[in-house]
This record gives sequence, structure tokens and C-alpha cells, in this order.
Amino acid sequence: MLKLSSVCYQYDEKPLLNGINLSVGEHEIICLLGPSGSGKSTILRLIAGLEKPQSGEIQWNEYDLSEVPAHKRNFGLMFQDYALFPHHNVYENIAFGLKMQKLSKTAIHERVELCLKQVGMLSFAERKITELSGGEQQRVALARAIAPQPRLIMLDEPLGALDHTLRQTLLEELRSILGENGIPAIYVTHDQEEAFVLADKIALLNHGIITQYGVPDTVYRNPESLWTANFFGLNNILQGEDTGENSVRVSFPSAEYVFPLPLHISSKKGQVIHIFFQDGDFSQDSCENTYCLKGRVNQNIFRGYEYEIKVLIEEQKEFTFHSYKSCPVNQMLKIGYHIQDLHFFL
Amino acid sequence: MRKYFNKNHLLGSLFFLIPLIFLIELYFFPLFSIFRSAFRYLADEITINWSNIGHVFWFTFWQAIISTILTLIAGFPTAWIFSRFNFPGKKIFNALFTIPFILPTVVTAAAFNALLGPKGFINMIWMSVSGSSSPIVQVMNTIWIILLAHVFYNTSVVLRVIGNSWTQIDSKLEDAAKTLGASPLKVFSRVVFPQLKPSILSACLLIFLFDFTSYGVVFLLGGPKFRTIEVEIYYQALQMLNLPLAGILSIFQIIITIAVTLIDKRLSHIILLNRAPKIFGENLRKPELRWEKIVVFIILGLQFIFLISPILALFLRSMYVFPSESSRTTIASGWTTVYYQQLFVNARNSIFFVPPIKAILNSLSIAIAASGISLIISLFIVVGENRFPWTGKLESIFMIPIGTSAVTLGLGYLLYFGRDIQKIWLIPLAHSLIALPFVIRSIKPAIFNIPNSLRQSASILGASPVQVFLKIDFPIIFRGLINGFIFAFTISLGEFGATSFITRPDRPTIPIAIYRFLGQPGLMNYGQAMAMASILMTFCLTMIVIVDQKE
Repeated sequence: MLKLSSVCYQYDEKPLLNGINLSVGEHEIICLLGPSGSGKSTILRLIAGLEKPQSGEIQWNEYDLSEVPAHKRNFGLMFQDYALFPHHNVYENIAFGLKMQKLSKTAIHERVELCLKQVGMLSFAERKITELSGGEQQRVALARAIAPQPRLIMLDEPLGALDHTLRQTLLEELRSILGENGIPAIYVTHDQEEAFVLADKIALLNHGIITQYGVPDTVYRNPESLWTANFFGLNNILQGEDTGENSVRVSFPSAEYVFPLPLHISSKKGQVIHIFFQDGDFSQDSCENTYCLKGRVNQNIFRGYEYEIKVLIEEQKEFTFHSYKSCPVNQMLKIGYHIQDLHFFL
Repeated sequence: MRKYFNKNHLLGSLFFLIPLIFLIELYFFPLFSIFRSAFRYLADEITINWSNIGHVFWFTFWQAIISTILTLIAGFPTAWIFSRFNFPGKKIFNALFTIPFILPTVVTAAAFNALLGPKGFINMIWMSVSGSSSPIVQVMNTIWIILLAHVFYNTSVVLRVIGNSWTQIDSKLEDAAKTLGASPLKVFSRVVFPQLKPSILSACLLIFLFDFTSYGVVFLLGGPKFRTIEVEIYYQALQMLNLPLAGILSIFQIIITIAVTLIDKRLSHIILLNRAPKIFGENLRKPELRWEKIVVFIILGLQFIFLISPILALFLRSMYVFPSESSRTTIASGWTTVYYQQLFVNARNSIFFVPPIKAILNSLSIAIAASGISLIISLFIVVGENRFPWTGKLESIFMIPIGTSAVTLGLGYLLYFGRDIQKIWLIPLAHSLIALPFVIRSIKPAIFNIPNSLRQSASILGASPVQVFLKIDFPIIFRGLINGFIFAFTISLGEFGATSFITRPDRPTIPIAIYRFLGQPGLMNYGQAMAMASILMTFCLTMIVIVDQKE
């Protein structure tokens, strides 16, 4: 299907993409996840043919697309601002791509009706674009993008401009509509929740490089770098130092912990190593796990369906936990980890 | 990568090819001919009456300065009440007071003739009331009528430029000064005036420039005695046949125009810097005190009389024959459409061997052709700039003609085209060049306001570049195109300066026909001038109403 190999792109001498490799298979939804300025939208523009890469190749079924102009690629792209045509009504907007394919009037009519039905906007066909709310515009934009039955659909932060509650409902709809149509999709977002809900695979993008790629929960649970952990908001991280004896030492004024260093980390003696502590079981007295951290409850915040508990490890570094049970402030805790819960990176 | 950029440059250049040829052939070559002709003088050492030229320059300067000062005085009170008060009918007054600015010079000349001329409205009434046979107001062919017409023309500049800037000045500052113990005079001189100064200067420069390059008004109302540089260029070129001297005058004119424009550019930058965004209407209130109501009423009334009476007089004179007039001719006195009817008739003793209706049709077809050409050329420029942003640097050269006076352009054509001056296509092309900067300005924002994502969406949905233009750009900017067309159309209909150089005797335009009628003795000629001027004015007013409604 779609394949990008070492695609590089720069704008005004500034490199935006540095060797992107990515492929999208049949029925697959890929999420490009990353902060703003990481180059997510640029990748879409390159695939769509709106920009040309300086080097590298974009292929569809082994066929090089570099000489195919945007209007002949038969890809769909839904813009962040929806880019609905203000001089056309809802129906005409959705019919636009079909007219370009020179379909018959009846065929166009059938397809538009179907798409309108799918996004639940059948009664809005004759409305002007300016009379639509943000959410309605979003649906029309989606209908317009899927109407010509593109080989691939790309969505550029489609929920970015909407408020939180609307996003939740539309996200679920989007998921089912994309599923129904079975069109392979690339979805760009900076919101990890959206990515988790929709994606079959997530490509994490930072400074024009895909830093991590995989199934959502694998990516989330196995951050491979400090940046990835920080981006996901995973803050239960301690900083230690390579002892030179295949172990990491984390020193506090009050205590010292030593953890074995996995073989794939190639560090030198004295080098800084970050350890991400995943999950963890906490209890007041006993600790049955291999590794135990000691801490004191600093804040106990009720979040509705759970408590957010902030624990100060050895009075130095704050960790965050989620629990169904409340934990009184200032209680001393022991937090236990298995070796597979620890993730090391430089 | 290199290949890509070459293709980009090539396509972009293609867009500019036609406009560039148009500009070079219709602007730069004619201008170059003026320079060449002027330099030939230096070589040939033709004797020139420098004291006469000095006299022309001196007159051009002082009449422009006096006109500017008078315009400022005439417009200032209205600018004040427009920027500080809300009153019923304000929008209508605002629109009415802009009318003079858009009137073609021949219409203004005809209108003042209809009001103050020897056969004008005031004199006719005076004569029929007093029984006297000589007019009481004798301002035609004096400096007074020139000054009056200049003030009439440019008052709306004062209202727009100074009024807009004054509306932006926070009225709370004035209140603050009052509470600090400042008298009304002090409030103005210490608080309002310093903030208003840049825009006053800017308005003055603009008005000065208009008055300095005044041609039609001086030519048509001042008679042979008064010559601005523009008028002198005409005399030297077409009557004295001293083309090198006309060229030298044109060059001086261009230099002064450029200098004033550059100063104004700097100023408008300052005005922009000083402008704090304000909620609309924040500084406006209803006149409440008794004296305020009276002052607003008087100022509005006087301004209305001054700006609207010539227009009304023109309409009236085109439709009304006084008894004293009818006694000397076969035309019955009272309300009549005879002047209009006569436009369709080829009177045997007329100087025309074509009936005036031909002039109207001629003008209309020239205007349609000129607007069409202007629109197409501007589309090439603007779409080219939009699709290939690097060409944006080229656009500014198409704005240059705005600073060149129509007379200079006419002279350039005379020198450059030589025998081709008689060709039918020259006038439409000249008009389209004069209108070009205005058309570009009216469609450029329209096309640049379209978010690029719309075009990209269309392209991704399968529209080729040409289809993108036809299906996206074109329908969205359609209104802008109509406006641009109307601007060009109105400019072409009223154009007098350049046309007076290149017109063919057997193919007059409306302004040329009016000018000829005004120069002929006899009631019928006078009446037909009034009728044609009224028609031209109606065209212009209709156009402006259409544009206004669309916006």
C-alpha cells in the first residue's frame, strides 16, 4: 500500500523531516502523534502531493508517486480548518470530488446521500456552510473526504478546533465511520487520547523523526526515550548513574538504590541513566516485589472515577499514581516494582 | 530540486509575460519617449521662454497651496462632527459627501457652469427676478471658480482621511483633559491636534497633489488665462507643437509627484503606528446640548449646500429652460427633455458630424473594452502572484502608473505612437492602464483572502489547477471582479486628461463631447452639455451605488 522511504523535506533551509520511513497497510489506521512543529502535517502534505520531498520516495503499491500531481492521486485529506467551500452548500461540497470524477448525476446523488447518512447530516444537504456549527462542519468535511472513495484518507487534527465534550462523541463516530468504510487512514494529532482511541499503529514524531512506532499500548507502556515518556506525561522517572558494573545507582541524601542495567543500554561509567517506573504496587508496610521505593503521600486529589496520588520519593522526587482508594496525606508508603516494570534510557 | 524551482519560475514568468508586455508598451515606452524628446531639446538648443515657464510653475504651486488650505477649512468642521457625533441620516450624508470625489472633471466643470456660470442657475434666477440682463455672479474664468472646484473635489478627502483618524482618537482623553482644567481650545490644541497631526498632513499632501496636477478643472473652468503645468503641457504639445518643452514639463511634474508620494508614504506609516484599535462607535454620541444640535445642523446644512448644489443645478439646468432663454430661441420655456432628445439628433449646423448619442455609445464600448482588458491583465498579475509568491515583487511595478498624470500619459502616447494615435484600440488600452492599479487593488484582497486549504482541498478531491481556479477562486472572487470592472468602467467613462490627447475628432467620448459643447455658443449646445454631463454623472452614481451595495 502506501510506503514512505527516507523522506526528507526542508523549508527555508530549515529541515522539517529527516528521513521518514512509514508504511500504511490495508484497513489500517496510522496515527502520527507529536507536538506542534514536529512535522506531522508536513508528512500529510507530502503524501497528498501538495509539497515535494527533497529526497526519499513515496510509493503506492510499489509505484513511485513523485511525478503524480495532487489531483490525480485519489487520496483524501481533511484539513484542520475543514476548508469547506463557502460558495457551495453542504450537498455541493460533498459532491465536488464526485463531479471531478465525472460521475453521472444519479450516481453522485446516491453517493452524497449515503455519505450524508453516514455522518448523520442528511437533513443538512441544502444548508450553507456558514450556517453550520463547528461539529457539523467537521462532519461535512469528513463526508466530503470519503465521498470519492479515496484509496487513502488523511485527517489533519480533525477535532482540534472543537470543545472537549464534542470531541469525545465525534471521536467515537469517527472511529466507526472509518471502520465502516475500511479506507486506510493516516490521522494526525497532538492528543494522545485521540491517537489511542483510533490508531492501529502509532508513529511518534519529534523534530522530523519518527522516534517510536508500534501498537498504541506497546508504545505507551514501553517508552524508549526520556522524550517519549515526557510526551506521554509519564513523570515517574528517576535519574541515576552508571556504576560501571552493569548497574545503575540512584542516590538520595537519605538512601541509595541500585538497579541492574539491561544489556541493550550501552552506557559508560558515570553516565546519566533515566529509569521510568511503570505502574507499581503501593502499600503501607510490606513490599513483596523485587524493588521497593519509599515515599510519603504529598497530595491526594479526587478526580471523580479515581484518586490521583502524588508521592514524594525519599523527600526528593514526586511520582504520580492513580488509585481507586484514597490515601491520607503524609502517610508513608512503599512502592514495589518487578524488573519488567523498569525502563531504562539515556 | 533545481528542476522544481526552474519549473516554478517558468510558470510564474508566463503569468507575468502578458501584463509586462502591456505595461512596457503602454507605459514605459511612452514615458521613455517623453524623456528622449526632452533630451533632444538639450541637444538642439531650442529657445524656451523660461520666464513663462516660471510663471506656470509659480501659479501651479500657489493655487495648489491655497486650494489645500481652503479645502482643509471647508472640510474640518464636518470631519469633526462625523467623528464625534451620531445623528439620523449620517450614513446617507457620508455617502452624499463622497460623490464629488468620484465625479469626472468634465462633470464637475459642467456642474459649476450650471450653478455659477453666466447661464447658470443662480444667475438665471437673479436675472428673472431683477429683470437685469447681466449676470450678478461672474466667476467663470477667474481664479475663484478654480479654487471653488478644487475645494468641492477634495473635501471628501478631508472627511475620509482626517475623519477616520479622528474617530480613532479616544474621546475619553479629551474628557480627562477637561477634568484637569483645560479649556475647549486647550483640549484641541494640546490633546486632539497632536494626535491628528499626521493625518492632517497626509490629507494635505494628497489634496496638494490632486490640485497640483489639476488639469480638467483648470482647463475647463479657468479659461485660457490660467495654466497649471498640466494645462501648459497640453498647450505646448497640441497648440504650440513644442513637444520637447512639453516633455521637460512632464519630467518636472513626475519628479514633484514622486517626491510628494514618498513623503506621504512615510506619513501613512506613522498614522498606522498611532492607530490604537477601538471598538466601533465608542467615541460617538448623539448631540444633546442645545448648542451642539444647532452647530451640527448648521455645519451639515452648509456642507450639504456646498457639495450638493452644483450636482442639483446640473440636473435642473439639463431639464429646465428659463423664460428669458426661450424668448431668444425656438425652445419653449419650463421643464423639458428637449436637450436629451437632441442628443439623438444630428443637427445640421452641429460641429459634430456624428450625433452625441454616438459619443455615448462610443464611450460605453470603450469603457467595456477597457474594463475587460484591465480585468484580464489584473487577473494574470494577481493570480500569478497568488500561485507563485516570488512574483509578488513584480506586482509593485504595475502600481507605478497611479503616480503618473493622465496628461503625461497622453503626451507619451502622442510621442510614442505617432501615427498609430488614430487607431481605435489606443483609447481602450490607455484607459485600461489608468484603471489597472485600482482593479488590482480591488481583486487582490479577494483572492488573497481565500485560504489556501480550499484550493488544496479541491486539488486533492481531483481538481486540476485550471479547475481549481474555475471552481474555487473564480466564484469566490466574483464580487471582487464585478467591483473591479465597475471601477474600471467608471474611470474609463470619465477619463478626460489622456483622452484629450489621443481622441479622434470623429470618435469623441462623452467627456470630450461635453467639453466641445461647453465651448460652443448657443442655448442648445449649453443644454446638451448639461444633459450629457447629467447622463455621465448618473452612470457614475449608479456604479458607486452598485459597488456600495455589494460591499
